[in-house]
Amino acid sequence: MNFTPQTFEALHLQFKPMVKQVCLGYVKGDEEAANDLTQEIFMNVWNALAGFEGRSSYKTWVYRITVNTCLSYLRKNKKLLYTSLDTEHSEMNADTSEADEYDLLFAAIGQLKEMDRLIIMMVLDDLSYDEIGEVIGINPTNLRVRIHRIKTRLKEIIENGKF
Amino acid sequence: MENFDTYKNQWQSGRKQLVEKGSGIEEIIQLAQKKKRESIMSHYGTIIVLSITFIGLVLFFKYIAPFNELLSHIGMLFMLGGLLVRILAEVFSLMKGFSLPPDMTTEQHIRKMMEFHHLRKKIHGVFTIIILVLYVIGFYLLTPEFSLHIEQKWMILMHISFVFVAVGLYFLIRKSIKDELATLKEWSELQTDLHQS
Repeated sequence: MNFTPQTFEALHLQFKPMVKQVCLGYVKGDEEAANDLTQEIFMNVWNALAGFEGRSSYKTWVYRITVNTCLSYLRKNKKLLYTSLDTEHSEMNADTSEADEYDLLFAAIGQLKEMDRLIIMMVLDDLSYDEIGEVIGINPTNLRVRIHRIKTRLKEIIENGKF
Repeated sequence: MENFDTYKNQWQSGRKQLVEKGSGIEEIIQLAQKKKRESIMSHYGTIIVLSITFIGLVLFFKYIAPFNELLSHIGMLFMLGGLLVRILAEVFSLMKGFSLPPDMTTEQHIRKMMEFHHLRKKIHGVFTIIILVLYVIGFYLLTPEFSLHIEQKWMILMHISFVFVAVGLYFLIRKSIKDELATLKEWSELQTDLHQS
């Protein structure tokens, strides 16, 4: 499939807010890490674009790159994996009383496990079970059970204010 | 789950705050090309260094210290053979590493990353140890003939310095294996988590 810098520009324009939001949710609101990660994801998008075969939509394709880059990024930056998460946790704790609902949702997502965080952000973005299955590579039926469990957990965190 | 639509709306409205003016795609493209080049160079770097060492050894044995005895020839073969196997292992690892496109499914990505780190663990562990042992045996097979040409004090110095090199290498190999094992454990935990419904 042919691609040009214009194709990349269009993808960047369309999906950057989506990617940035996922990154922010994934690194629990660490703006600097999210910007760094967003840039890395689009570098991977550029490098992989020549191999895009059009078997999936651009959205699920970009999501695949986003999820894989996020997982690898945290393993390369082990400080973020082990230390800053706790720091972020206590910072969120202090801000909760003044935060608006979006911030509360964001903080609640941050309390979920790594994979659950990524999956629930796709659900919030209105991806279907089939599309999420296409990104993650697991059976949509299994995914359905898991998503139900994550939704319940998220609701529980928000309602009980467990930040 | 009636609240969930509210969360969806909050999430989707929150995204609007993230729309920025100006794309900066030229910078991303440049960085992406640089990243690709650097990644290739870092992978080829080890192969280049090992190959230079290999060529250096061949030249040393051919022009500076042409050994004549059978024992020395076996020693040379051990040293060069071990190094050659290490170079081939790096080439294999490079080929494996490059077959990791970023747009696989998460399940495939995790599986491939685990395979890759398993291979790295083997290369840094068993492979490196076997090759080092071959190298050391090879080196000591050379010493009888070598000692005929240099003074004894230099031979003693060489044996003493070898202890320091061995200790350094032990810690280096141990650290590499520990790093690979830690990374492997993280990917393995992710894989377990992914398959839990």
